[in-house]
Parts: sequence; C-alpha cells; structure tokens
Amino acid sequence: MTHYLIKRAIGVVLSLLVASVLLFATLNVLPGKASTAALGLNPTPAATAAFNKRYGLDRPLVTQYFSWIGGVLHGNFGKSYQTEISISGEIARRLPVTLELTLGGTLVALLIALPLAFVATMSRGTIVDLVATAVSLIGLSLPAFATATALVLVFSLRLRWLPPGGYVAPSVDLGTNLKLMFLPALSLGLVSGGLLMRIFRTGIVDALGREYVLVSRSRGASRGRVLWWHAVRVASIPFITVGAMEVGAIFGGAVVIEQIFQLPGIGSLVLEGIETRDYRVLQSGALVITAFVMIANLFVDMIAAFIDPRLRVPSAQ
Amino acid sequence: MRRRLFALGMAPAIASITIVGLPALGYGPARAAEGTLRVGFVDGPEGLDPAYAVVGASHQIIDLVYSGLTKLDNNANPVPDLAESWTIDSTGTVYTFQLRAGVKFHDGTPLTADDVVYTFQRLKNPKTGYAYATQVESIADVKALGPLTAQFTLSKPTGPFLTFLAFPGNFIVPKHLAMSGPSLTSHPVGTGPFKFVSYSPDRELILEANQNYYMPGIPRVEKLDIKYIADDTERANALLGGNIDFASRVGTKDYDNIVATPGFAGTEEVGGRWFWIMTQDETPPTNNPLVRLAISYAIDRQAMVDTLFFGHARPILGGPIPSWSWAYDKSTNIIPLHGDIDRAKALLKQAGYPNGVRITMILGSTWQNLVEQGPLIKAMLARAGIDVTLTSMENPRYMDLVWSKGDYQISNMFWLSPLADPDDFTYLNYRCGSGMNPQKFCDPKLDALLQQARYTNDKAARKALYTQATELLLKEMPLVPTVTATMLDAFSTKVKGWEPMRTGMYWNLSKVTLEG
Repeated sequence: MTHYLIKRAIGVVLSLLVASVLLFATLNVLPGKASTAALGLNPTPAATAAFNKRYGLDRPLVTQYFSWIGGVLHGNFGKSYQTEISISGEIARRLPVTLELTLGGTLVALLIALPLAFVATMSRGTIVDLVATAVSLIGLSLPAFATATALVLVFSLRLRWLPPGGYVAPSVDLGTNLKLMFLPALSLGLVSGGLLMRIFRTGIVDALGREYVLVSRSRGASRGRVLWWHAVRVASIPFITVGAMEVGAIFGGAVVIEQIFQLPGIGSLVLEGIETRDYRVLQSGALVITAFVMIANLFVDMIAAFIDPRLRVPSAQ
Repeated sequence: MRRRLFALGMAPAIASITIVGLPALGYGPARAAEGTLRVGFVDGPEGLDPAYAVVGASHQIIDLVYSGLTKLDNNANPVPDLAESWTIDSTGTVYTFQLRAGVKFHDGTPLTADDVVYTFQRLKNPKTGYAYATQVESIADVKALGPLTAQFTLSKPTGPFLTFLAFPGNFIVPKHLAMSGPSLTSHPVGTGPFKFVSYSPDRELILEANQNYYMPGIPRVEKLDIKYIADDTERANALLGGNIDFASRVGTKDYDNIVATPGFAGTEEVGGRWFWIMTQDETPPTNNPLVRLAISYAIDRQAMVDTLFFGHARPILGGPIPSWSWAYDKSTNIIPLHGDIDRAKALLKQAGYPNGVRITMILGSTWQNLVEQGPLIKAMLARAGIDVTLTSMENPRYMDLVWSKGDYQISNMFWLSPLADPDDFTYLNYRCGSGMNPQKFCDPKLDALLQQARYTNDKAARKALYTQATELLLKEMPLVPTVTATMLDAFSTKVKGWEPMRTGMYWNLSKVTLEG
C-alpha cells in the first residue's frame, strides 16, 4: 500500500511539472496581451512599453517561465499585473472558500445520491424507484447556474429566507457562513448528486444480479448482509471513481457558482485573470487547481485501493 | 440682587439652548461619521496609483482616496479642491496655485507644493508611460514657489487645463511614499475623504473615513464597503435582497422594477456615457464617407432608446458633445430621430453600391450592453440593404485585433467621459494616430480645429470651434454616434443625500448618510 502511494505521489509531482509547462505555453500563446487588456481604450506606445518593462513581459518566454516556476517552487507566485497584489496571498485567502464550497457540494451530492440510490434499489421496479430515478435525472440535467439562479429567485428574493450572495469566513461567524454557503453548495450538489445516484443504483442492481450474490443468499445470508457486504462494496468502486471525477467537476463548476453568489474563491480569481490576460494569476491559479484535482484523485484512488485490493497490484486485474 | 439671580438663572438656560439649538441649525461641531455604507460597483479597480491606473473602475476609487488641485462639481465645472485659489497671468499660460493649509495625507504627512511638483514631473516622465499624457503635454514646467504655492507654466494656453487637474489620473500623490515605500498601486495613500483599508480583487474593497479630511463633516459614513458585482441582475438582486444599500449603474431593465419596489429609490442622470458604431475608415467599403453616412441614416435611434435601454437613454442627433455641456450647439442636430432609410439607400447607391453591401460586425463579448446592440443594429442596417454578419470575440483578443490593429469593418463601443469637457468627447476619438481612434480616421483640418479649440482659454471661441468641428464630423461621419445612456443608480431609502455626478464618479458618496 505504501509503495503504491509513493509511486502515485511521484507521478503527481511529475505531472504537475509537465502541466506547468503546458499551462505556461498555452496561456502565453493566446491572442491578446496583458498590456492591451490593462491599458484599456487608450494604449499609447509609451504606456505599453512602460507596462511591459515593469512586469518583465519584454523578456524571452523561456526566461519568463523559469522565473515563474522558480518562484513557485519557493512558494512565491508573483504579483498580479492589475493590482500588484501578491498572488500567493490571494490564493491562500481564496482556496479555503472554494474548498469549502467543493466539500459542501460533495456532501450534498452524497446526501442526495446515497439515500435515493438505496431507496431506489430497495424498491426497484416500483413507482418509488421511478420517482427517485426521475428526480436524479432532473438534477443532473439542469446546469448548475440555472439551478443556482432558480434557488436565488425562490429562497432569497421571494421567501427572503437566505441572502442572495456574499461570504463570511467560518472563523468570523460560522452560522452566517453556513447560511451563505447553503445555496451555492446545493446548486453544485444537485447536479453531481443526480449523476452519482444513477451510478450507484446501477452498480448495486448490477452487483445484486451476480452469481456470487445468488450463492450467498442460497447459503442463508440475510438480505442486509448481502446488500452491504457484496453489492455495495462492489458497486462503490465505480461510484468512487466517478465520484472523484465529480469532485473535480464540482471544483470547476465552482467558478460560475462563485460568480453568481459573489464568493471570493479561486475559481473567480482565475476567471478574472482570463479577462485581463493576467498571466501570473492565470498560471498560478490554474496550477493550483490542477494540483488540487490531482491530489483529490490520488486520495480517492487510495480509498478505492483500500476497498478493492485488486487495484493495488498492477497486473492482477 | 434679584436681577443678579435672574441673570445667573438665565445662564444655564442660554447655555443649553446654544448647545442643543445651534447644531440643529447646522452650526457647532460636525456630526461624527457613522455607519457602514455597502455599495455595489461593477468592475474592480486595476491598480490604484493615479499615474499607472487606466480604467474607469480604478478612477472611481482614486477619486475617493486621493484629491486633485481642483475637482468637478455635479455639473462637471472645475472648483477648488487642494488648491484653495489660483491666479492666471495675462498670457494665460502661468497658473499659480495657493494650496490649502493643514491638509495631511492618510499617513499623517502634511501636503506641500513639493508633492504637487513631484506628481506632475512623474506624470510627464516618458518612463512612466502615463496613458493620459496628452492632458499634461502642455505643462512646460512646474515648481514650488513656497511650501504651499505651486506654479505651472504651460507652453500654450490650454482651455481645459483646470478640468484636467480634476482628472483622477492627475491627483496628487505623496512624494515620500511614491519614491520609496509600498507601491501605491496596491497601497494607495492620498488626501481624499476615504482611506484605503483592503482589497480582495474583483470581490470587495473597503475604505474607511479620513477623520482628518479638510471639509468639515465629510465623509458622513464611517466605512465604505464596496462589493464588486459585474452582472447587472446579480447587482440588482443584491440591492433588493439587502446585501448592499446602494447599487451603481443599475441595468436598464432592472431600474424601473427596483424603484417601484417599496423601500427603494433611484436617480437617473444624463452624463457623458455615449455609444457609437465604429467604422474602419481606411478599408472599403467603410472608407467611403457616403457608406458611413448611410449607416448613420439607417439607424432608428429612438427605437434603440426604447428597445435596448427601456427609455433610459437619449438619442444623439448631432455630434458627441452632450446636451448639458456649455459647448453644446443644438443647430448641429441634423440627424432624423427615426433615421431615413430612403436617404441611406440613396447614399449607398451614390457610393457605388446600388444593390447593397455586406459587412461584418465584431462585438466584444465582455460588454453585455454592446453585445445586445448587435442584433438590433443588424436588423436596422438590413432595411437599407446593408447585410451585416455578427461575430464576437472576448476582450483581450478584441483589444488586440480590433482596437489596436484596426482589423475589422464595423464594431460598436461606448465610453464614459470622466471629464465632460468638450475636448474629452473629441480629442481622443478623432485625432490622427490617437490610441482611441481605431477607425484610423485622419483629417488634418479636423485635427487643426480640435487643437485650436483645446489650446485657447476663450470659452466662446472654443464653443464656436467645436460647432465647426461637429459640422465637419457630421459630413465625414468617422464613427456613428448613436445614443447617450443615462446613468442609473438605485439605493434603499435608508440612504439619504445622494446626488449623481455628470462625470459618473462617486465622490458624492462622501456626502451620503445612512438612516436607521
């Protein structure tokens, strides 16, 4: 198990290095320059030259890359062109917000997927199963921003139960923080919850139809034991795999949700960086997001390998 | 004895009447600033150093944190600010400013003429690359005659000079901090009514009252909590949902809804926020002024006002100088309100396109209100036989391709003049080689008129020159002005005393109070 973990961890580091080169190359090749974005409607040649000089944008690309990655390895992501605010500081402030949102969204997804899936499989073939499946289908079909807007309309503007947006750190006021994160997490969770419910239900039903389940039951195993030990454990592998991908998707989907609910997260930081071709913000922000998704997947792979020993040994599939 | 006792008895009565009564009449110690005003702005600032900040969103904040020698009143007329008074010599080129005594920067350092000299030397230094260098180009020399006296010598009389001094880019910076100290871009320190506290990029900017501000009783709120909400609907929702007390630049479709809701009010003001259709004046077919005039006649400006702006705009029937400006000349309003399709078709025929013409319109996808105009403009031009294909691209690419290179046929744009001097509506847009002239229009006759109009102090002469320039522009139509959008602000009725400014700035938030 440890051997597997070390191998995977090295893989993540190498992948991140490759990712950094790819990110840097792609972002710097995009049409549109930081100077034109920064200088607005009146980019005089003198202002453009002064801007490029101030931020080292007149150096060759290779020099700029090594300068950036060197800083990153020391934990210094540089300064934004637009505001000269330290990017590492900004990322440190914003990452917890997106993480909280992602965690919340994942929790909501699980709270929706697991009970619904169990209910559906327990009463499969009946009207309850049909309703549960329909609900999950609706959840996964609606884009998160549509769900979010609808939730704001109903709960914030009509019922006035919850504020339409904003953020307060949990350390400042946990109660308000949870109130403010509820709708955003719900918007993200509904989509993933729908998808995960379908996957889980299919996995369980499939596993329940297998031979070893029949054998187990004929040997007198109770319905509950069969369900848990055999079906759920087996079905959880695809569930976890897709779940890991969904966590990545939730993290990505957080960008739009952060905009709608005015949450100061890392997604909106990167989004703004695209607008302004603030390369340092983009490179650093995108690298952090990539790292997060890779680490999240690594973590989930560990859990999967724990549950299914076959995954730990490369050849024994 | 009785008289003395009577006098003694009266003393406390008089004293209490004075203490209670005089402040009620507006005299006595100023009321302390109180409350936090939560404001919704659209875009976050990009740097807060006046010399380097370019975008309007930065100027909005610079206007609150720093001050200039002059400032603009609600109608965009320059009035004293850091300069208490000034004299202009007989040649009209030497301005001597007497600075207000006792003004301090937010770090406690007193303001002196040295800061003024340093500020303008820095702006004029080519290494700074000041984006608005044309405003300081006629300053030949600036020096301190005393600790509170600064003298500017101009190379030629400059009509809008006092107005330029009120432009946030030209606001006074603390010399000791600009030279060494944390960058003013991220740690602005000025003499304005509000002190900078913190900024979370494009999310929230916090300002607190400058207790030592030289105008008594200003600002009236303790803290300004600015939340950046780019989407119009979200900003309106934030106001209605109680997340903010004041929403700036409310969307036209949200405004009527908000002011009809109990507990909310709004203001509408015609400023300098004008829209135009950009034409590439160097390549066919738009290099032919007849084609550009045809485009102008094909547009039904009233319909634009009604459908795109829900009535919250004014059609531009002449040149870009707004109706409230002293340089406005009604006689130049020759464009028919609903356009003239027959005239447009005739002009196209004259230009050599009897069967119409096909052109592409590029829209900058970041600007919601510009993208919305696309389909309507396409439909209107179609009536005159101009077949428009709409495409869009995101901003940085748009700025590179369309704005800098001029690689387009037609597009559209809008701008809010922060100065509202007639020079500001003409000099940058029409001058040969100007960074704000992606039409690549160049007419030396027009340039001469605009230069003359700028470099004279005689207001009546300036007005006549701008009328001449407008007439020329209406013949050549280098770009097609369409409408001036009104500036819409909305707020909860707890917010008292808001007065909109023609320049679209928000300095007046320092005069606003929060009740309850």
